[in-house]
Amino acid sequence: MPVEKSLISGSTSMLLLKLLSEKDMYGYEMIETLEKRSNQVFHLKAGTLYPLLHSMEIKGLLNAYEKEVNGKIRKYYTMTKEGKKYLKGKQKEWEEYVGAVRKVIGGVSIGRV
Amino acid sequence: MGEFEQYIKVVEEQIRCKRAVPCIEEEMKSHLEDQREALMRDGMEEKMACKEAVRQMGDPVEVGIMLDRIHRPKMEKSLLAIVMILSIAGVLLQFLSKGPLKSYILFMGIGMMIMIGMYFIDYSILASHPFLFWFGIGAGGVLFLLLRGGGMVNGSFGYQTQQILLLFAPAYGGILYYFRGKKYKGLFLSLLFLLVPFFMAIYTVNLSGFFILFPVFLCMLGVSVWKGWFGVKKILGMGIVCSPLVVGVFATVFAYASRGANSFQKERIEAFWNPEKYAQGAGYLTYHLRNMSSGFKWFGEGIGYNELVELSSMHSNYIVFFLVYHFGMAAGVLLVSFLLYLIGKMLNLSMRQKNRLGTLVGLGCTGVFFMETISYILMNFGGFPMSRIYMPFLSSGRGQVIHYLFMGIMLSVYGNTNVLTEKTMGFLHATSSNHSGK
Repeated sequence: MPVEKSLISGSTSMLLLKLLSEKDMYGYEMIETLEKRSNQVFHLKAGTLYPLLHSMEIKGLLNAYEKEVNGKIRKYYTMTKEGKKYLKGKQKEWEEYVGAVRKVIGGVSIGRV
Repeated sequence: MGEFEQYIKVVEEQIRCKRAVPCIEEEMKSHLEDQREALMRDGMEEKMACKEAVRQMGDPVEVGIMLDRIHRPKMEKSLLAIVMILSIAGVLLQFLSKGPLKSYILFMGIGMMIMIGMYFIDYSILASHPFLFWFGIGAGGVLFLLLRGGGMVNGSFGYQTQQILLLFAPAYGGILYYFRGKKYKGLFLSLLFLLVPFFMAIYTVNLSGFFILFPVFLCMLGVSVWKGWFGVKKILGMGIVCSPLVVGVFATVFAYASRGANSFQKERIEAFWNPEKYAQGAGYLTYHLRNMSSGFKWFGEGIGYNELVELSSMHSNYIVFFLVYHFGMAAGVLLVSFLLYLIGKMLNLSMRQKNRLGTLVGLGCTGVFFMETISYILMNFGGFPMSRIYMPFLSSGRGQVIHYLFMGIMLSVYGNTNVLTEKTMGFLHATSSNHSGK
């Protein structure tokens, strides 16, 4: 079920960081995992993902390294300390936002605004 | 397969900085392949899977434009602004101290052109041709001496060769980068390479150049060891880095005790320790500088004027002293802290580079600025023997140019922060011929 784009864009970096807080991943893996976890709600296009990852790397939220898996060299991303801090802040912000929305419209789950 | 390449090509066409391309290309290709394989596993036929994989990527032009916005050379405007302010302060000081204003401005102009030129040069050439630069600088120094043909001036060739010698500092970044990960062998070879500037400094009897450079070299080496770039044990590695210090101290004492230092320098150094004794000869400057320093005020002109000091090339060797004496210590503190702020900024910028070559080259430039500034200030107040040292951007002479050159290298390092990763560098140098054909 596709969701309105603007709803995702701001928090995509938060979602990616959340994934990376569990383990290091490469780009394709992130898209796949995100899709699975969100029951196909979040279908992130690779064309959006990579520029986002690169800008997060430049901001110092992520670090990248290469690792060979099954004969294929992949670029893995890992979260930095700064990334951890950023995630914490974003998560808090998001919870406040969701709480506020809930209060206004009463008991509606995220993603169906 | 053609479809993937077509897609990537369109993405790349949007990215203006071609140096950033190889890294992006590989990641995208790998993604497309993963996607295709996944689709085929779900039962899609190869051709369809390729098409679908490309479709799922998103509009290539849009993606390319986004990546272009991210991977773009940056200009560090604040560094540039500080250099401009210091240069203007330099002109003012030269004017006030009756320095050679015309030649000062001329060298400043040449320097600025070199600085801008360096910004546009990709500093990674230091990694692709480390030895060319290293021995090239050495050969350049020797050639310079031969062409000049003259003998010593005041017991040293150092007046002219020091600036060439200083070029070894950023070039050493290339050497260390080359020997990275090569364990103890790499560490020892990195030390061995220091023999080139060492012998040049000894041969040209350039003690101040030696004093400025070697701490910088050892610092660069120390950072490499400490960060684990050689892959050697930290403690043992640091011990090896410090070993030349011990050897150096012994060698200096030995050289000094024997006839290593020639009589002129020997007298100058002795005069430095004991200026009262040599107050009429080699020690007169140190003697008077120290005497006059006691008459400084925080604001305004100091007391205890002595024309002997005023006569001796204020604009080149004692510009900070000039400033403090005539305008007070507050002016001196202001100017020096401004310069130290610049150096701090350069250090921060170097250490934050992800590209190790960038860190090392930046450290080389920063270290030289730092050592020069500190020794110049010490010299100005009688805390360091008189020698031909420059205050970056402020004192006059041909050597002014080198500081702009170093700043240009810094700008190139910073500018390439988001463009030139170590991986990209590997690509560029390994397949430069392949990529140029695109």
